[in-house]
Parts: sequence; structure tokens; C-alpha cells
Amino acid sequence: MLEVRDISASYGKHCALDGVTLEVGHAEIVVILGANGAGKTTLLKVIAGLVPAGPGARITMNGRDLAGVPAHRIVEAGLALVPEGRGIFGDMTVRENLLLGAFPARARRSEAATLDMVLDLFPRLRERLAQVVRTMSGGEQQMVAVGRALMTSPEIVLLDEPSLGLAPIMCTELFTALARIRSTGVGVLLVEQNARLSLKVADRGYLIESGRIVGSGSAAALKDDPAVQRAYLGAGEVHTGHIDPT
Amino acid sequence: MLAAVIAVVFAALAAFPLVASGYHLALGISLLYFTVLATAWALFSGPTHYISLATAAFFGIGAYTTAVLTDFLPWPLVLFAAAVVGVVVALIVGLSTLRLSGIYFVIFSFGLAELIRQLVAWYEINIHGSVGRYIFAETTSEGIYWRLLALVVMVLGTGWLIRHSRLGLAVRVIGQDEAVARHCGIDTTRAKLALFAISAAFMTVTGAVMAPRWTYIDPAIAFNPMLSFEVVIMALFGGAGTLFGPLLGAVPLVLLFEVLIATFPNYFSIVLGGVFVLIVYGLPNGVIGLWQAKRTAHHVAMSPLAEMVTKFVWPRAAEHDAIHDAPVLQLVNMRKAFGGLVAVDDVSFALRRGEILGLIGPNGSGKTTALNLISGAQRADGGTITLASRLIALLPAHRIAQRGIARTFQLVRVLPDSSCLENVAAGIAFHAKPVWGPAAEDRARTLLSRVGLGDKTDMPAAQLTYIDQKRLELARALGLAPVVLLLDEWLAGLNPSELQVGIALVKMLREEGLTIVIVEHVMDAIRSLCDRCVVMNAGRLIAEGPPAAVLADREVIRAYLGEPDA
Amino acid sequence: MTTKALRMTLALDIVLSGLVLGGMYALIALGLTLQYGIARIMNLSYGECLVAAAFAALYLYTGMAVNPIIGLLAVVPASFAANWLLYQVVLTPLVRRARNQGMLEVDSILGTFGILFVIQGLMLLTFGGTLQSYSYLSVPVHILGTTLALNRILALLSAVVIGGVLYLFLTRTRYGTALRAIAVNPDAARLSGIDIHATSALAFAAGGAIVGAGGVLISMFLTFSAAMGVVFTMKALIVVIMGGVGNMLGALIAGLLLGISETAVARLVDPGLTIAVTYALFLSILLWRPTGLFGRTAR
Repeated sequence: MLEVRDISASYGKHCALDGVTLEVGHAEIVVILGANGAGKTTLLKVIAGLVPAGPGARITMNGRDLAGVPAHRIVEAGLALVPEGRGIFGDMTVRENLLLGAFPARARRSEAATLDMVLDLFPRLRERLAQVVRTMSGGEQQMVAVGRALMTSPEIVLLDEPSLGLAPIMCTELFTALARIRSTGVGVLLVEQNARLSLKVADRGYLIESGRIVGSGSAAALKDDPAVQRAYLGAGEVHTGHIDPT
Repeated sequence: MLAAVIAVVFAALAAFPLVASGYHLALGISLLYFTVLATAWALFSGPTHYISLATAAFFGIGAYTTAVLTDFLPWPLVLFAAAVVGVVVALIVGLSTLRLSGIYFVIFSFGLAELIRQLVAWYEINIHGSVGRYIFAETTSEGIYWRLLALVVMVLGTGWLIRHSRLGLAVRVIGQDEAVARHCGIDTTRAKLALFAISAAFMTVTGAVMAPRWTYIDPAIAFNPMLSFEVVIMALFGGAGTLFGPLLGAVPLVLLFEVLIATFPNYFSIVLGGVFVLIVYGLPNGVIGLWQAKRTAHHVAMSPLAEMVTKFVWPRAAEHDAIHDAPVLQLVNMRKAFGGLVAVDDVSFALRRGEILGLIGPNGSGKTTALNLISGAQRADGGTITLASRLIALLPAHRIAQRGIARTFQLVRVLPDSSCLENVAAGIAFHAKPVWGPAAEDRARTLLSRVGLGDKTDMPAAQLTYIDQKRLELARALGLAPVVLLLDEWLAGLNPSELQVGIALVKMLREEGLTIVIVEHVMDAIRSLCDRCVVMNAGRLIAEGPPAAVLADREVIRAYLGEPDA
Repeated sequence: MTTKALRMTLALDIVLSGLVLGGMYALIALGLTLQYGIARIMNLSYGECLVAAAFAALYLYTGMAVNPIIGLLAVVPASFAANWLLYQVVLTPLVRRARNQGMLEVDSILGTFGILFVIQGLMLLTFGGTLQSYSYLSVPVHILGTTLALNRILALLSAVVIGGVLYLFLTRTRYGTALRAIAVNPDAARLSGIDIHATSALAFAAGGAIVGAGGVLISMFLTFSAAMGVVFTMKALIVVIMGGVGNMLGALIAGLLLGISETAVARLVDPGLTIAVTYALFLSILLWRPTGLFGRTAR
């Protein structure tokens, strides 16, 4: 169970995040929707330890405090980030990428089983274990990226815009995989602009705007909300009046 | 007053040999020649951050020019010949190597010095018949001192001229952000080459002047690689980014070396190494950085006089005709792939004069890549782009900028160490009809007030807020007096009231006849600004038309929203 | 013997001697690959470490009668430890303060340049500036009509073993893969639980261990002096850059190419031109392919 309280962050004088609070449980998919520049990527980077959390922030994983812990230790606590731009080792093979995912001590014992699980999830990677990742298509690279994160045997996976630049059919395949990941008990925190597709697989969602959480609710409630459509399209103001607060 | 002080100092320095002992005169010569070398080194390496270890090569070439020619030619001609040889070698080397960056250039320049040394040594032994040469030049230590003093004055004067000319601005921009430089219309290769050659000329002439000091030279003396390193230390110790920094580094270090050799001959290299390490840790910005503890901005310095002198090495771009035809910009079958990822896939569209075209689509759909292809930041794998019926697809970015295409960047790119005024000046000074001097400063101020930065002209761009940096970037782009303006998510991240101001500004630019392409996600802005929209998804163009129609299009909604429930 | 046979012998001689020299170059380039390609430190005092190891081998052999191959067991761990300390104490502050790769490159060039002088000065003080050598296993071995000293053959074999073990470590083991991973994508490495700082220090130290081994092996058949470090640094750099930074196979090929062409020029043209050939080869390859033989062409 990941709990995040009062995260703030700024680049120079630009305030990227302002008091963000959210939580992600096991075996659920939670999506964060918001316009470009709303702070979604920064939020995931702060949680993963790539960007320092502002003062007063609390990030806990199963009650263990993670604020200020370096990124490579956060992985050991069971959090794995698939960053925007994929975070893969382009000059290395698929097999090397996946085995690097199993570098954390927590992942090593179950390495072989996890590898089997990942290759079942993305059968296309099984045929291409010896291929250098840089030479693969965008969709296949994204599978490697998600596979690498799963190899760390996380409890919670954070995904930053996994549909970025993918053809629609690839998106569908990827999101189906997310549902199967949830069924193994792993929690998923997803940042997406593909609202309809992500709300289809998600259990809950948050709306973020200018670094603040401005609404939240069940995926079903969000899906039918006209404000969501405007939100993902990046309209200036979002009215969240009739969305149930969680 | 300042002139009087300079005159007195100069007179005192010039009179020094008349009263100095032999030892002090020799020390004076050391001080002067290291000052020339370090200042000349910093002329090129200071603003561009290319660490050159070729000083010994140019110095040695100069020394050998003297050794070979002194029997046949009078002194002034020998020095002139040395300068010419230096420039020629620098141009040849520079043309082939300045595209190398970082460590590649460092090692290459070092290798060059060693290569030339070996070749000269081989030539001397096998063709000339002896390793060394005697130099019987009729000159005295005083003569060498005075020549070096004249060189110091010349190198500082040249440095001042360059700093106050377009060439100087060009290399300051290059040193901070080479991509921005190209999109401002700066021919970066030419600017670097010009400075490299000027710097090399001073080094060879210094070598030529110093050669008679030895009476006998061989390649090991003339091409001593230590010289390259010593010059780098001195310039960095003093502060390579400023005109007088290298002087401030050369003087104390020459004296220090002198003391070290005299007192600890056996420990010289250990102490030298220790001092070096201390400098790197303790004075990352050089001695001059102690004065400027607070990071201050490069202030734009525009002297018409300096420009008059230096424009011979840095001519203006050829003027181009105004564009009247329609369509202004046309893309036909553009394609660009990165590895297995096709970012732009067979995209064609046209831009009419005076319209605002919205280029929209989900993240990663290829919009920014399309802008990069238009502005020349990336080269297309296929397809053609024409600006007013002229093919521009294969031109380098700076030529495209000179033709009148200006852009801003998705992740804002300003010149962090330059003042706002200098940032805008970079846009004004290099397009087809550049302005320089007070007129350019006025124009830069006007543009700054226009985007709402009128009160921040002297502030370093790094200290601006994110929003103000975006404004500054727009002012720089407008400085190019563009025909077509490309705005890459320029309105993203603005709050509602700022958004209204931004939209009004873009509208006003269109009223003035500018043709604009905006890449945006802010739908309100697209609805109120765009005359037409082009929608991309997964690298392909999927819709085109007025914003209202395009945003209601089924395929567009699906691209943004994902597949509707089946 | 006929002229043809003589020519064959000469060619074989050049290839064999060139292989020995080239193998040494490839080995020390491999060490520099670890330091520059992986730990991202441009270490100009690299050659000084090699010469220091050569002096250590000389001292062990002449002073304590320990043969150089046994000496490796002492010199290599010592070199590893010294380089690890160098990284932790001297270079870590520079890594921490660098805002980008370019700044780190400049800072590390300048910092290690100072260290170069300190080490060189200490060696000059201890051993003097003269050329040094010792005679160990300098017995001729006949191979296909030409001769090669046994110490050279032994040095080459040792280099092959050390290089091979390192190659297997880097490509076949978890820690070796992690080492390469931080060079490919540092952020993704952190997200895979790899401690970048500790791993960089390890890579730097391992590079130091390799160059220590190179120094011992080279001292078996070449004369050396306290001032020769810079030459080795430059040659290692040239080989690394020619092969493409971070590319081990490239470094091997570039090293052998350099060894053979230097030997050929020394035998056929003029020994005084070997360094000129080195640089000419290097400069032309860089002009032809700015990122080296096997470097990635464009990003």
C-alpha cells in the first residue's frame, strides 16, 4: 500500500506540485488524469526518488517512510517506475534489460519465475530475447520497459504515459496487460492522457491540474463525467462539483 | 581618466627594459608571452568551452617559421608569414575537427601537436640533416620584450573588438546553447572557425617572436606539450570567460613556477600538481570569479566600431527577397524515423500567408518532430519542404532561420548566463537584415517590453520564472523578424489570466502579418486562435480543417480518448 | 633463403610483435573504457598508474626476487584499492558538483591532470628520471621461422587471460551487466535498484586494476621511465576513441590495429615515425567516423 501526503516540488521558481495527496492499494489500477504540464510526471519522479520531495512530504510504503531515500533503495521497498521515454537500456538486449530489472535483492530469489511471468505477459518478447532493444518498434520497447519494471518484483508499479507514441492496437495490448498485472496482486499507478482507454481498465482515478489534485472518484463515475473530457483535452477550468470525493 | 591610467601603465611597461636587470627582463618576457598565449587561448576556448591542447602546435609552428625564414626575410615579414601559416593550419584543422565535441576535440588537438612535432623531427633528421637549427636573428631581449608587449596590447584589443561585435555575441550564444544559436541564424561552424584561426594566429606569432630567445631550437623545445597544459591552467585559473581573466591567471602562475623551480627543483612537479588540484576545487570560476561572487549576466555589448573591424571575418548573411507568394510554407510527404520508431510518416500540409495553423494530436504523435524538420533541427528521411516555393528541406538550421523561420522550444531554452537584452540581441543580430549597435539595443528593448519584460532587461535569463523565460524566448524569436513563427507548446503551463494575455499577443502578431504554426494542447487557445488545424496521431496526419470541425471528428476524438467502448 | 621467404618472415615478425604490442594497448584501453566509458571520468593520470605498476614490478623482481606474474597478485589489488580511494576522495566531489556531463569532463580532465603531476613527481623523486628495465625470461622462442622473446609471449597470454576474464565478467554476470548498464542509461539503472555512485567507484577501481596489470606486463619486455605515463594515457585514449567509447570489441580491434601498424612502420620505414603514425591513424579515423570505428553514429 502506497500512501503519499502533501508532496510539493518546484523547478526554480516554477511550482510543479502543490500539496498532492493520494494512495494506491494492492491489486488496483489508479489513473491520474490531467493536462500537459499539470505536474503528473514530476509526481511520479518524486515518488520514485528521482526528484527530491519538498519539505513536509510523506511517502510511505506499507508504513515505511520513503521520503529522502535514494532511488535505488526505493526499488528495494517494492516500488517500480516506468518513466516517460521508457527507461530502457537501448544498447543492450531484451534479456539483459529484463535481467537488470532483477538486480534488486528482493527480486533475485524469484527471478526465474518472474521472467516466465513477464514472457507470458508479453509473448512477443520471448522470441526476441537476443534482440538489441534500440532496434525494436516503439510498442515493443514499451513492453521491455514494463517487463523490466515487473522484474524488480514490485508491489506497486508506476507508469508514466505508457501509451505515448504507440499505435492504437499496441495501446490496447498494453492496457490488457495492465489488467493482468493487477490480477497478480500488484498495484498500478498510471499517468495517462488516453482517458477513455485508461478509465476502462482503472478502478479509481484522480484529476490533477496546475500541480493540485482537483478531483477524484471511481473510474465508472469519472468515465461518465463531461468534465473529464474537457480535463484531458486541457481546458482551462475543470468543474468537479458532482464527483464523489474518495 | 581610464585612458590616462592605461597610457601610464603602458609607458611604464614599455620603459621596463631600460631599467631592468637581465634576470628581471627574462621574467618580464615570460610574463608577457604567457599572457599573450593564455589570452589568445581564451579568445576561442573561453566562450565555446572547447578545451584546446593545440597551443604547443601553433607556438612551435611559429618558432619554426622564424628558424626557417629569418635568414631570408626582414622581421616584420617573418611575423606576417607566421600569422599566415597559423591561420592556414587553423583553418584546415578547424574545418575538419570543430564538429568533434568534448573529449574528442581535446585529444584531437593534443594529437595534432604531437603529430606535427614528430613530422618536423623526422623532416629535420632525414631531409634537413640535423635535429636542431641555429637561429642567428639580429635581435635583443629588449626587442623581444617590446614585440611581446605590442602583442599583448593587440590580443587584448582584438579580444575587446570581438566581444563587442556580432562575432563575439555569436560565440557566447554557441557556448551556452548551440541549437539556439543555429535557430537564431548563426552559422556556428563559421563563427568557431573564425575565432579558432584568430587565436591560432596570435599563438604562431608569439612562437615566431620567442624563437630567437633560444638561439638553438629542436622539435622538443619548440613543440613542448607542457606549454599547452600550462596555458590552459593559467587561463582557467584566471577565468577563461573574461577578457582580463587569463592575464590575472598568467601573472601569478608564472611567478609561482619561477619560485617553485628556484626553491624546490626536486618537488616542482608535485607542488605544481597539488596547486592545480587546489585550483580546480577551490576556484571553479577562476580568480576573476572571486570578484564576481554573484553570478552576473553577460551584458550585451554592441559597438558599431568593433563590428566595422570584425565584419571581414564574419560577414552578414545574404539578403533574401520578401515573400509574397501563397502558400508560404509547404510540406510534402515528410518522413522521419528514429530506429524502429516512425515519428513522422508521410505528412503533407500547407501554410497560407497570415494564418495561424494549429498542429495538434496526442503526446508522441510527431508534432515536435514535424516542427524540428521544418526548422532544420533534424533532417528528414524523405519528402520536401518549400518556403515561398524555395526548397529548404536540406538547408542547415541557421540558413532556414535566416530565411525567416523562427521557433520556440517545447522545453524552454534561453541563454542562462546572458541578460535578457543579450538573449533578444541574439535573435536580432544574425538574420538576413541584422541590426547592430544602439539601434539593435532599442529594438531589443522594444521587443522585451512587448512581451512584458521591459523592466528585466539586465537580469540573467536563468533568474527569470518559467513563464518569463517563455516570454523571453518569444521575444528572441521575434527578433529574427520572421516570416513564419513556430510556437511549440508556448501556451502550456500558463494560468488562466496569463493564457488570455498570451492569446491576445499571438493574435496581435497575426494582425501584423506573421504566419504562425502552434503546437498546443490547450484547447481553448486552439479554438480561439487557429484558422485551421492539422491533427497528427502516431506520426500520421489524420484530419485537417477548421478547429470546430476537426475537434468534432470521430477519428480525432478516438486518437485522443482511445477506442470508444465497443 | 629467397627474397620471398625473407619477406614472409618479416611480415610474420611484424604481425607477431605487433600482436604483442597491440594486445597490451587493447588491455590498457579496456581499463580506460571502464574508467571513461562507464564511470565517466576522464582520467589523465591513467598512464602514471601504469608506470607506477611497472616500477612496482621492477622493485618486486630486482629487490625481492618475486617474478612479475606472481607480482600481479600484489600489484593488481593494490592498484584497485588506490584507484577506488582516488575516486572516493578526489573525484567524488567533482562528480557531485557537476551539473552535466560536459562540466564533469572538464573538471575531471583538470583535476586528474594535477594528480598526474603529483604521481609523476613522486616517482621521479623515488626512482629518478632514467630509463629502467629488467630481464625476465628473455629467451628466444622460434615460431615459424621467426623468433619472439618468451616474456613477450607470456605477457600476451596474460593479457588475453585478464582481458577474457574481464569480458566474461562484464557480459555474463549480473554485476558486470549492471556496470555496463549505468553507462547506457543511468536513470534506468537507478530505477533497477543499481547504486550508481558505488558502481561507478567500482568501475573506476576495476579500470585501475586493469592498467596496473598492463603496467606489470609491459615492464616485462619494454623499457620505461617516470616521465612516460602521458604516452600511455594518450595511446589508451586513442584506442578507446578509435574503437568507439564504451565499445570493448572496438577497443580490441583498434588496439591490435595500432600495435601492428606501429610495428610495421618501425620496421619498414623509420622507428622515429611510430608516434606520427599513431596520431595520423587516429586523426584520420576520427575524421572519417567522428565517434570511432564502432561508435554510435548519431543520436
